[in-house]
Amino acid sequence: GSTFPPLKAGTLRIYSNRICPYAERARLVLAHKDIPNEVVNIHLSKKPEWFLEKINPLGKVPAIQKDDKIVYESAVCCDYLDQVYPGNKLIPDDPYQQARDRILVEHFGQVTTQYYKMLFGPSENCAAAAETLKKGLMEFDKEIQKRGDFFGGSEPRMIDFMVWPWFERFHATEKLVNQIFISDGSMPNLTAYMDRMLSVPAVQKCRLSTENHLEFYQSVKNGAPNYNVGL
Amino acid sequence: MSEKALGRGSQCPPLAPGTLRLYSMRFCPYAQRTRLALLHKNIEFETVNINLKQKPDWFRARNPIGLVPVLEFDDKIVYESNVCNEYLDNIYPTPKLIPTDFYRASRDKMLWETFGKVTELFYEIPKSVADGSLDKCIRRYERQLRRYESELSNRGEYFGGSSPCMVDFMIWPWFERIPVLTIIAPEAEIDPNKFPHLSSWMKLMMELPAVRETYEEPTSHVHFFSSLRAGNPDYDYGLK
Repeated sequence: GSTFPPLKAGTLRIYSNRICPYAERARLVLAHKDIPNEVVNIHLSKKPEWFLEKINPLGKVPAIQKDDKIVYESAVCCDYLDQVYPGNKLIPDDPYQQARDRILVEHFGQVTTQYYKMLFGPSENCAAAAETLKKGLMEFDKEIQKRGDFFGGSEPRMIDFMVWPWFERFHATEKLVNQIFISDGSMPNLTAYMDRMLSVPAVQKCRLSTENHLEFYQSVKNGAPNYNVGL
Repeated sequence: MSEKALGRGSQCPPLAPGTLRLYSMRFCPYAQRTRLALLHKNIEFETVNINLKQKPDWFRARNPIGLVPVLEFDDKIVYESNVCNEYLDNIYPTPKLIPTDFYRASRDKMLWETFGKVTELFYEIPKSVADGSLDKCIRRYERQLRRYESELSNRGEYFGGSSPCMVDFMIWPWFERIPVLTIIAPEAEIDPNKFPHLSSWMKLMMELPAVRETYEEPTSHVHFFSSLRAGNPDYDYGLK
Protein backbone atom coordinates (compact mmCIF):
# COMPACT_ATOMS: atom_id res chain seq x y z
CA GLY A 1 0.00 0.00 0.00
CA SER A 2 3.01 2.34 -0.03
CA THR A 3 3.88 4.82 -2.77
CA PHE A 4 7.10 5.11 -4.75
CA PRO A 5 9.56 7.20 -2.71
CA PRO A 6 10.68 10.05 -4.99
CA LEU A 7 14.26 9.73 -6.19
CA LYS A 8 16.39 12.85 -6.48
CA ALA A 9 18.24 13.31 -9.76
CA GLY A 10 21.76 11.95 -9.59
CA THR A 11 21.20 9.93 -6.40
CA LEU A 12 22.12 6.27 -6.40
CA ARG A 13 19.49 4.20 -4.63
CA ILE A 14 19.61 0.56 -3.58
CA TYR A 15 16.39 -1.37 -3.04
CA SER A 16 17.38 -3.75 -0.31
CA ASN A 17 16.33 -5.70 2.73
CA ARG A 18 18.37 -5.83 5.93
CA ILE A 19 18.21 -9.61 6.19
CA CYS A 20 18.65 -10.62 2.54
CA PRO A 21 22.07 -12.15 1.76
CA TYR A 22 21.80 -11.29 -1.95
CA ALA A 23 21.14 -7.64 -1.15
CA GLU A 24 24.05 -7.76 1.29
CA ARG A 25 26.39 -8.56 -1.62
CA ALA A 26 25.55 -5.22 -3.23
CA ARG A 27 25.64 -3.38 0.12
CA LEU A 28 29.14 -4.75 0.75
CA VAL A 29 30.32 -3.45 -2.62
CA LEU A 30 28.77 -0.04 -1.96
CA ALA A 31 30.40 0.10 1.48
CA HIS A 32 33.81 -1.13 0.38
CA LYS A 33 33.99 1.30 -2.52
CA ASP A 34 32.57 4.18 -0.42
CA ILE A 35 29.82 4.82 -2.94
CA PRO A 36 27.25 7.31 -1.61
CA ASN A 37 23.81 5.77 -1.77
CA GLU A 38 20.36 5.85 -0.27
CA VAL A 39 18.65 2.70 0.90
CA VAL A 40 15.01 1.80 0.42
CA ASN A 41 14.16 -1.39 2.24
CA ILE A 42 11.51 -3.58 0.66
CA HIS A 43 9.22 -5.75 2.75
CA LEU A 44 9.80 -9.09 1.06
CA SER A 45 6.57 -10.78 2.14
CA LYS A 46 4.40 -7.75 1.30
CA LYS A 47 6.02 -6.27 -1.79
CA PRO A 48 4.75 -2.84 -2.84
CA GLU A 49 3.00 -2.80 -6.22
CA TRP A 50 5.20 0.10 -7.36
CA PHE A 51 8.31 -2.04 -6.82
CA LEU A 52 7.02 -4.78 -9.11
CA GLU A 53 5.74 -2.33 -11.71
CA LYS A 54 8.53 0.25 -11.82
CA ILE A 55 11.65 -1.49 -10.58
CA ASN A 56 11.79 -5.29 -10.77
CA PRO A 57 8.91 -7.41 -12.15
CA LEU A 58 10.49 -10.39 -10.39
CA GLY A 59 10.13 -8.53 -7.10
CA LYS A 60 13.58 -9.33 -5.80
CA VAL A 61 16.27 -7.31 -4.07
CA PRO A 62 18.85 -6.01 -4.61
CA ALA A 63 18.00 -3.52 -7.31
CA ILE A 64 19.96 -0.36 -8.08
CA GLN A 65 18.44 2.82 -9.47
CA LYS A 66 20.00 6.08 -10.59
CA ASP A 67 17.95 8.52 -12.67
CA ASP A 68 16.42 6.35 -15.42
CA LYS A 69 18.83 3.44 -15.00
CA ILE A 70 17.69 0.30 -13.17
CA VAL A 71 19.75 -2.84 -12.57
CA TYR A 72 18.73 -5.99 -10.70
CA GLU A 73 20.14 -9.51 -10.04
CA SER A 74 22.80 -9.33 -7.32
CA ALA A 75 25.79 -10.39 -9.46
CA VAL A 76 24.82 -7.92 -12.18
CA CYS A 77 24.38 -5.10 -9.63
CA CYS A 78 27.80 -5.84 -8.12
CA ASP A 79 29.56 -5.98 -11.49
CA TYR A 80 27.82 -2.80 -12.64
CA LEU A 81 28.80 -0.87 -9.51
CA ASP A 82 32.41 -2.02 -9.85
CA GLN A 83 32.54 -0.91 -13.47
CA VAL A 84 30.83 2.45 -13.03
CA TYR A 85 32.68 3.42 -9.82
CA PRO A 86 36.23 2.38 -10.70
CA GLY A 87 37.98 3.26 -7.41
CA ASN A 88 39.02 0.25 -5.30
CA LYS A 89 38.51 -2.18 -8.18
CA LEU A 90 36.97 -5.45 -7.04
CA ILE A 91 36.86 -7.51 -10.23
CA PRO A 92 40.24 -8.81 -11.47
CA ASP A 93 41.50 -7.20 -14.69
CA ASP A 94 42.63 -10.52 -16.17
CA PRO A 95 39.71 -12.15 -18.04
CA TYR A 96 40.81 -15.65 -17.02
CA GLN A 97 41.01 -14.73 -13.34
CA GLN A 98 37.59 -13.07 -13.70
CA ALA A 99 36.24 -16.33 -15.13
CA ARG A 100 37.81 -18.47 -12.38
CA ASP A 101 36.38 -16.20 -9.67
CA ARG A 102 32.91 -16.44 -11.26
CA ILE A 103 33.27 -20.21 -11.38
CA LEU A 104 34.06 -20.18 -7.65
CA VAL A 105 30.84 -18.24 -7.03
CA GLU A 106 28.95 -20.91 -9.01
CA HIS A 107 30.57 -23.62 -6.86
CA PHE A 108 29.46 -21.66 -3.81
CA GLY A 109 25.92 -21.81 -5.19
CA GLN A 110 26.00 -25.53 -4.44
CA VAL A 111 26.80 -24.66 -0.82
CA THR A 112 23.99 -22.11 -0.58
CA THR A 113 21.52 -24.65 -2.00
CA GLN A 114 22.19 -26.85 1.04
CA TYR A 115 21.87 -23.82 3.33
CA TYR A 116 18.33 -23.17 1.99
CA LYS A 117 17.47 -26.87 2.28
CA MET A 118 18.44 -26.76 5.95
CA LEU A 119 16.44 -23.61 6.65
CA PHE A 120 13.32 -24.25 4.62
CA GLY A 121 13.35 -27.90 3.67
CA PRO A 122 11.84 -30.80 5.62
CA SER A 123 13.67 -31.28 8.91
CA GLU A 124 14.34 -34.95 8.18
CA ASN A 125 16.66 -33.82 5.35
CA CYS A 126 18.69 -31.45 7.56
CA ALA A 127 21.45 -33.87 8.50
CA ALA A 128 22.04 -34.88 4.89
CA ALA A 129 22.06 -31.23 3.78
CA ALA A 130 24.58 -30.38 6.52
CA GLU A 131 26.80 -33.25 5.37
CA THR A 132 26.68 -32.08 1.76
CA LEU A 133 27.24 -28.46 2.77
CA LYS A 134 30.28 -29.45 4.80
CA LYS A 135 31.74 -31.36 1.84
CA GLY A 136 31.22 -28.28 -0.31
CA LEU A 137 32.91 -26.04 2.24
CA MET A 138 35.93 -28.37 2.39
CA GLU A 139 36.65 -27.41 -1.21
CA PHE A 140 36.69 -23.77 -0.11
CA ASP A 141 38.93 -24.61 2.84
CA LYS A 142 41.40 -26.04 0.29
CA GLU A 143 40.95 -23.15 -2.13
CA ILE A 144 41.61 -20.37 0.40
CA GLN A 145 45.02 -21.92 1.11
CA LYS A 146 45.95 -21.40 -2.54
CA ARG A 147 44.72 -17.83 -2.71
CA GLY A 148 45.94 -16.03 0.42
CA ASP A 149 44.30 -14.14 3.26
CA PHE A 150 41.21 -13.70 1.12
CA PHE A 151 39.84 -15.45 -1.97
CA GLY A 152 40.77 -12.22 -3.71
CA GLY A 153 44.38 -12.58 -2.52
CA SER A 154 45.93 -10.15 -0.04
CA GLU A 155 42.78 -7.97 -0.04
CA PRO A 156 39.11 -8.86 -0.20
CA ARG A 157 37.86 -8.61 -3.77
CA MET A 158 34.51 -9.22 -5.45
CA ILE A 159 34.62 -12.98 -4.87
CA ASP A 160 34.86 -12.41 -1.10
CA PHE A 161 31.84 -10.10 -1.01
CA MET A 162 29.85 -12.48 -3.20
CA VAL A 163 30.26 -15.38 -0.73
CA TRP A 164 30.55 -13.56 2.61
CA PRO A 165 26.78 -13.15 3.37
CA TRP A 166 26.32 -16.90 3.79
CA PHE A 167 29.47 -17.34 5.88
CA GLU A 168 27.94 -14.67 8.10
CA ARG A 169 24.85 -16.82 8.57
CA PHE A 170 26.47 -20.22 9.19
CA HIS A 171 26.70 -20.02 12.99
CA ALA A 172 23.05 -19.02 13.28
CA THR A 173 22.08 -21.83 10.90
CA GLU A 174 23.96 -24.38 13.00
CA LYS A 175 22.09 -23.20 16.09
CA LEU A 176 18.70 -23.23 14.38
CA VAL A 177 18.86 -26.73 12.91
CA ASN A 178 21.17 -28.26 15.49
CA GLN A 179 23.72 -29.42 12.93
CA ILE A 180 27.43 -28.61 13.02
CA PHE A 181 29.18 -28.08 9.73
CA ILE A 182 31.74 -25.35 10.37
CA SER A 183 32.18 -24.91 14.13
CA ASP A 184 33.84 -28.26 14.75
CA GLY A 185 37.33 -27.03 13.91
CA SER A 186 37.58 -29.30 10.87
CA MET A 187 38.17 -26.36 8.51
CA PRO A 188 40.76 -24.14 10.21
CA ASN A 189 41.61 -22.22 7.05
CA LEU A 190 38.01 -21.20 6.49
CA THR A 191 37.55 -20.35 10.15
CA ALA A 192 40.61 -18.07 10.00
CA TYR A 193 39.25 -16.53 6.78
CA MET A 194 35.92 -15.79 8.45
CA ASP A 195 37.75 -14.02 11.30
CA ARG A 196 39.71 -11.90 8.83
CA MET A 197 36.51 -10.98 6.98
CA LEU A 198 34.92 -9.87 10.26
CA SER A 199 37.65 -7.22 10.50
CA VAL A 200 36.94 -5.81 7.05
CA PRO A 201 35.22 -2.41 7.51
CA ALA A 202 32.57 -3.09 4.82
CA VAL A 203 31.61 -6.32 6.58
CA GLN A 204 31.43 -4.57 9.93
CA LYS A 205 29.16 -1.97 8.38
CA CYS A 206 26.81 -4.40 6.64
CA ARG A 207 26.60 -7.44 8.86
CA LEU A 208 24.01 -8.53 11.34
CA SER A 209 25.02 -10.62 14.36
CA THR A 210 24.51 -14.36 14.77
CA GLU A 211 21.82 -13.53 17.35
CA ASN A 212 20.04 -11.25 14.85
CA HIS A 213 20.09 -13.98 12.19
CA LEU A 214 18.85 -16.61 14.61
CA GLU A 215 16.04 -14.29 15.72
CA PHE A 216 15.08 -13.77 12.08
CA TYR A 217 15.08 -17.51 11.29
CA GLN A 218 12.88 -18.15 14.32
CA SER A 219 10.47 -15.41 13.26
CA VAL A 220 10.18 -17.10 9.85
CA LYS A 221 9.47 -20.46 11.47
CA ASN A 222 6.79 -18.70 13.53
CA GLY A 223 5.13 -17.49 10.34
CA ALA A 224 5.89 -13.77 10.79
CA PRO A 225 9.25 -12.82 9.27
CA ASN A 226 10.76 -9.94 11.24
CA TYR A 227 12.93 -7.92 8.87
CA ASN A 228 13.64 -5.36 11.60
CA VAL A 229 15.82 -7.58 13.78
CA GLY A 230 18.54 -5.62 15.51
CA LEU A 231 16.84 -2.25 15.16
CA MET B 1 37.92 -36.01 -33.69
CA SER B 2 35.03 -38.42 -33.07
CA GLU B 3 31.66 -36.91 -32.39
CA LYS B 4 30.68 -39.90 -30.29
CA ALA B 5 30.26 -39.20 -26.60
CA LEU B 6 33.19 -40.37 -24.52
CA GLY B 7 32.35 -42.08 -21.24
CA ARG B 8 33.83 -43.94 -18.30
CA GLY B 9 36.96 -45.88 -19.17
CA SER B 10 37.77 -43.78 -22.20
CA GLN B 11 41.02 -41.92 -22.73
CA CYS B 12 41.07 -38.15 -22.87
CA PRO B 13 42.06 -37.20 -26.42
CA PRO B 14 45.39 -35.32 -26.21
CA LEU B 15 45.01 -31.58 -26.59
CA ALA B 16 47.55 -29.86 -28.84
CA PRO B 17 49.12 -26.70 -27.39
CA GLY B 18 47.34 -23.59 -28.62
CA THR B 19 44.14 -25.44 -29.54
CA LEU B 20 40.84 -24.35 -28.02
CA ARG B 21 38.68 -27.33 -27.07
CA LEU B 22 35.02 -27.42 -26.09
CA TYR B 23 33.68 -30.30 -24.01
CA SER B 24 30.07 -30.58 -25.03
CA MET B 25 27.03 -32.79 -25.59
CA ARG B 26 25.11 -32.63 -28.83
CA PHE B 27 21.69 -32.10 -27.23
CA CYS B 28 22.63 -29.92 -24.27
CA PRO B 29 21.06 -26.43 -24.47
CA TYR B 30 23.70 -24.93 -22.16
CA ALA B 31 26.55 -26.28 -24.29
CA GLN B 32 24.68 -24.98 -27.34
CA ARG B 33 24.96 -21.44 -25.94
CA THR B 34 28.74 -21.69 -26.07
CA ARG B 35 28.78 -23.43 -29.44
CA LEU B 36 26.69 -20.57 -30.83
CA ALA B 37 29.10 -17.95 -29.48
CA LEU B 38 32.14 -19.82 -30.83
CA LEU B 39 30.58 -20.28 -34.28
CA HIS B 40 29.19 -16.76 -34.57
CA LYS B 41 32.57 -15.33 -33.65
CA ASN B 42 34.29 -17.65 -36.13
CA ILE B 43 36.61 -18.97 -33.43
CA GLU B 44 38.56 -22.11 -34.30
CA PHE B 45 37.89 -24.90 -31.85
CA GLU B 46 37.59 -28.66 -31.55
CA THR B 47 34.78 -30.53 -29.81
CA VAL B 48 34.86 -33.49 -27.47
CA ASN B 49 31.39 -34.82 -26.61
CA ILE B 50 30.90 -36.29 -23.15
CA ASN B 51 28.67 -39.11 -21.95
CA LEU B 52 27.11 -37.19 -19.08
CA LYS B 53 25.52 -40.28 -17.53
CA GLN B 54 28.89 -42.06 -17.25
CA LYS B 55 31.39 -39.26 -16.99
CA PRO B 56 35.04 -40.05 -17.56
CA ASP B 57 37.32 -39.28 -14.58
CA TRP B 58 39.41 -37.01 -16.78
CA PHE B 59 36.31 -34.90 -17.43
CA ARG B 60 35.47 -34.59 -13.72
CA ALA B 61 39.07 -33.58 -13.14
CA ARG B 62 38.50 -30.60 -15.40
CA ASN B 63 35.05 -29.68 -14.07
CA PRO B 64 34.24 -31.10 -10.63
CA ILE B 65 30.65 -29.93 -11.14
CA GLY B 66 30.57 -32.40 -14.05
CA LEU B 67 28.56 -30.39 -16.56
CA VAL B 68 29.10 -29.11 -20.07
CA PRO B 69 30.08 -26.75 -21.60
CA VAL B 70 33.75 -26.68 -20.57
CA LEU B 71 36.44 -24.77 -22.45
CA GLU B 72 40.07 -25.87 -22.32
CA PHE B 73 43.01 -23.97 -23.79
CA ASP B 74 46.58 -24.89 -22.77
CA ASP B 75 46.39 -24.82 -18.95
CA LYS B 76 43.21 -22.75 -18.78
CA ILE B 77 39.82 -24.27 -17.98
CA VAL B 78 36.53 -22.40 -17.94
CA TYR B 79 33.05 -23.79 -17.29
CA GLU B 80 29.48 -22.61 -16.67
CA SER B 81 27.88 -21.46 -19.93
CA ASN B 82 27.50 -17.80 -18.95
CA VAL B 83 31.11 -17.65 -17.69
CA CYS B 84 32.37 -19.38 -20.87
CA ASN B 85 30.50 -16.94 -23.09
CA GLU B 86 31.61 -13.82 -21.23
CA TYR B 87 35.18 -15.12 -21.27
CA LEU B 88 35.02 -15.75 -25.03
CA ASP B 89 33.63 -12.26 -25.57
CA ASN B 90 36.58 -10.82 -23.64
CA ILE B 91 39.26 -12.86 -25.44
CA TYR B 92 37.71 -12.77 -28.92
CA PRO B 93 35.98 -9.39 -29.09
CA THR B 94 35.05 -9.51 -32.77
CA PRO B 95 32.16 -9.34 -33.20
CA LYS B 96 31.47 -8.01 -29.68
CA LEU B 97 28.38 -9.74 -28.31
CA ILE B 98 28.22 -7.99 -24.94
CA PRO B 99 27.91 -4.16 -25.15
CA THR B 100 30.90 -2.12 -23.99
CA ASP B 101 28.48 0.33 -22.36
CA PHE B 102 28.22 -0.87 -18.75
CA TYR B 103 24.53 -0.14 -18.36
CA ARG B 104 23.53 -1.81 -21.63
CA ALA B 105 25.71 -4.79 -20.73
CA SER B 106 23.92 -5.00 -17.37
CA ARG B 107 20.47 -4.92 -18.99
CA ASP B 108 21.57 -7.73 -21.31
CA LYS B 109 22.95 -9.81 -18.43
CA MET B 110 19.68 -9.33 -16.53
CA LEU B 111 17.85 -10.83 -19.52
CA TRP B 112 19.86 -14.04 -19.57
CA GLU B 113 20.28 -14.30 -15.79
CA THR B 114 16.49 -14.24 -15.38
CA PHE B 115 15.81 -16.59 -18.30
CA GLY B 116 15.88 -19.43 -15.77
CA LYS B 117 12.26 -18.45 -15.05
CA VAL B 118 11.46 -19.64 -18.60
CA THR B 119 13.76 -22.68 -18.69
CA GLU B 120 12.36 -24.08 -15.45
CA LEU B 121 8.93 -24.13 -17.09
CA PHE B 122 10.29 -26.46 -19.79
CA TYR B 123 10.52 -29.06 -17.03
CA GLU B 124 7.36 -28.03 -15.21
CA ILE B 125 5.02 -27.94 -18.21
CA PRO B 126 5.32 -31.68 -18.96
CA LYS B 127 4.82 -32.41 -15.24
CA SER B 128 1.78 -30.15 -15.13
CA VAL B 129 0.16 -32.09 -17.97
CA ALA B 130 0.39 -35.16 -15.74
CA ASP B 131 -0.92 -33.51 -12.56
CA GLY B 132 -3.64 -31.37 -14.16
CA SER B 133 -2.12 -27.92 -13.53
CA LEU B 134 -1.23 -27.20 -17.16
CA ASP B 135 -3.36 -24.04 -17.45
CA LYS B 136 -1.65 -22.44 -14.48
CA CYS B 137 1.74 -23.44 -15.84
CA ILE B 138 1.01 -22.03 -19.29
CA ARG B 139 -0.10 -18.73 -17.75
CA ARG B 140 3.26 -18.51 -15.92
CA TYR B 141 5.05 -19.45 -19.14
CA GLU B 142 3.27 -16.71 -21.10
CA ARG B 143 3.87 -14.16 -18.35
CA GLN B 144 7.62 -14.83 -18.49
CA LEU B 145 7.66 -14.83 -22.31
CA ARG B 146 5.91 -11.45 -22.29
CA ARG B 147 8.95 -9.94 -20.55
CA TYR B 148 11.10 -11.00 -23.51
CA GLU B 149 8.47 -10.04 -26.08
CA SER B 150 8.25 -6.59 -24.53
CA GLU B 151 12.02 -6.14 -24.33
CA LEU B 152 12.44 -7.31 -27.92
CA SER B 153 9.81 -4.86 -29.13
CA ASN B 154 11.97 -2.04 -27.69
CA ARG B 155 15.17 -3.28 -29.25
CA GLY B 156 14.61 -4.34 -32.85
CA GLU B 157 14.72 -7.49 -34.91
CA TYR B 158 17.16 -9.12 -32.54
CA PHE B 159 17.80 -8.46 -28.86
CA GLY B 160 21.02 -6.91 -30.19
CA GLY B 161 19.03 -4.57 -32.46
CA SER B 162 19.86 -5.03 -36.11
CA SER B 163 22.27 -7.88 -35.40
CA PRO B 164 22.31 -10.64 -32.78
CA CYS B 165 24.04 -10.17 -29.46
CA MET B 166 24.83 -12.45 -26.53
CA VAL B 167 21.21 -12.41 -25.31
CA ASP B 168 19.98 -13.88 -28.60
CA PHE B 169 22.41 -16.79 -28.33
CA MET B 170 21.91 -17.34 -24.59
CA ILE B 171 18.15 -17.85 -24.93
CA TRP B 172 17.86 -19.42 -28.41
CA PRO B 173 18.47 -23.10 -27.38
CA TRP B 174 15.17 -23.29 -25.49
CA PHE B 175 13.15 -21.74 -28.31
CA GLU B 176 14.61 -24.45 -30.55
CA ARG B 177 13.24 -27.05 -28.12
CA ILE B 178 9.66 -25.75 -27.99
CA PRO B 179 8.56 -28.49 -30.44
CA VAL B 180 9.42 -31.01 -27.70
CA LEU B 181 6.97 -29.25 -25.38
CA THR B 182 4.18 -28.81 -27.90
CA ILE B 183 3.88 -32.55 -28.47
CA ILE B 184 2.45 -32.94 -24.95
CA ALA B 185 1.30 -29.34 -24.53
CA PRO B 186 0.22 -27.66 -27.80
CA GLU B 187 -0.57 -24.56 -25.72
CA ALA B 188 3.19 -23.97 -25.42
CA GLU B 189 3.42 -23.02 -29.09
CA ILE B 190 4.56 -19.40 -29.54
CA ASP B 191 1.39 -17.78 -30.89
CA PRO B 192 2.31 -15.05 -33.44
CA ASN B 193 -0.81 -13.11 -32.36
CA LYS B 194 0.31 -13.03 -28.73
CA PHE B 195 4.06 -12.86 -29.40
CA PRO B 196 4.57 -11.20 -32.81
CA HIS B 197 8.12 -10.04 -32.11
CA LEU B 198 9.34 -13.35 -30.68
CA SER B 199 7.72 -15.21 -33.60
CA SER B 200 9.55 -13.09 -36.18
CA TRP B 201 12.73 -13.33 -34.14
CA MET B 202 12.58 -17.12 -34.16
CA LYS B 203 12.41 -17.13 -37.96
CA LEU B 204 15.33 -14.69 -38.21
CA MET B 205 17.45 -16.70 -35.79
CA MET B 206 16.91 -19.81 -37.92
CA GLU B 207 18.68 -18.02 -40.78
CA LEU B 208 21.88 -17.40 -38.82
CA PRO B 209 24.75 -19.69 -39.83
CA ALA B 210 25.66 -20.43 -36.20
CA VAL B 211 22.06 -21.43 -35.41
CA ARG B 212 21.81 -23.60 -38.51
CA GLU B 213 25.06 -25.34 -37.66
CA THR B 214 23.98 -26.25 -34.12
CA TYR B 215 20.33 -26.91 -35.02
CA GLU B 216 18.79 -30.29 -34.32
CA GLU B 217 15.44 -31.27 -35.84
CA PRO B 218 12.44 -31.52 -33.50
CA THR B 219 12.39 -35.30 -34.02
CA SER B 220 15.98 -35.50 -32.77
CA HIS B 221 15.23 -33.39 -29.71
CA VAL B 222 12.12 -35.45 -28.97
CA HIS B 223 14.04 -38.70 -29.38
CA PHE B 224 16.84 -37.52 -27.13
CA PHE B 225 14.49 -36.17 -24.47
CA SER B 226 12.48 -39.41 -24.41
CA SER B 227 15.64 -41.49 -24.16
CA LEU B 228 16.78 -39.26 -21.29
CA ARG B 229 13.49 -39.67 -19.42
CA ALA B 230 13.68 -43.41 -19.98
CA GLY B 231 17.03 -43.39 -18.19
CA ASN B 232 19.16 -44.25 -21.21
CA PRO B 233 20.13 -41.00 -22.95
CA ASP B 234 21.01 -41.57 -26.59
CA TYR B 235 23.90 -39.11 -26.85
CA ASP B 236 25.00 -40.37 -30.26
CA TYR B 237 21.57 -40.35 -31.92
CA GLY B 238 21.86 -39.50 -35.59
CA LEU B 239 25.58 -40.21 -35.87
CA LYS B 240 26.72 -42.80 -38.40
